[in-house]
Amino acid sequence: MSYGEIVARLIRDFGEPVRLERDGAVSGEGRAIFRPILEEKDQFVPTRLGIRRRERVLCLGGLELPFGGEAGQTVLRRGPEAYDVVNLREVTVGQEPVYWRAVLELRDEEERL
Amino acid sequence: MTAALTALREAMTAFLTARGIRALSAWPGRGRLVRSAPLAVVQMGQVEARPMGFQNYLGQVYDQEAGQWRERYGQQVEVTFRLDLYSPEKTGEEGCRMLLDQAAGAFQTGGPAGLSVEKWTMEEPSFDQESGMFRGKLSAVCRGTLEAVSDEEGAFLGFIVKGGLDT
Repeated sequence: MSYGEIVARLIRDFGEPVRLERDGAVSGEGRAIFRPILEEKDQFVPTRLGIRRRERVLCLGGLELPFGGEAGQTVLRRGPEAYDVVNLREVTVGQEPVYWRAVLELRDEEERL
Repeated sequence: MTAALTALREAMTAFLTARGIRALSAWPGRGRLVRSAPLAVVQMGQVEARPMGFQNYLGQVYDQEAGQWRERYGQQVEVTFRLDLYSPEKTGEEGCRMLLDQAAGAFQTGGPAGLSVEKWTMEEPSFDQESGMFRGKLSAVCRGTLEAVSDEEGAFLGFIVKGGLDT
């Protein structure tokens, strides 16, 4: 079993179901493993626009998730929580893509006009 | 129209809102929201008070309610408001310019608490990583009168800001 197949199986067996949205429309579904990123900075920070909750997670996502492609606002939905993509990279072994590695930030509550 | 000096920021927010501009006083104590439309965030940048009249004496005025003459003291006050014009990625930099047009129109009719808008300046909008939105900075310099308030015995109670001096 190749490294890519092992990782794909881990994500399939232990990952959580997630949904990707691009500019408000669902672009795909799949599974991903999450791990919180603990920082030394304060989690709640006052800003001009209100109190910001800074909470980042490391996401290892299956290749079925359409992270790549053209520019646009990508939001990952994990149950009731939504995350913005801060940083993203496709991890490869040689030329073979294996999984997505992304840093995500918990999204603020959306304004209701 | 009058307002306490510390309430001027809220007065500017209310002034903009009354003219159809979505506005928020800066540093609200609640959670930040993902904005779906352009928004002006108001804060006070600088307040400068200058002497007025002879030792700030502004003359007498007849108080209808108390039925007596009252002496007035005050200073000229210049307030610089700083408005951050935020626009989500969806509405882009154009959203900042739209807010600027609306604010410029509102300032033609005066300022908050009856203050007059002496001048305003706008900096070129840019993308703000921290908020994830476009942000333009608008400064508005307003002028008015800071008048001392006293009770019937003449004890000092505080200050109010007035747009102009009634003579």
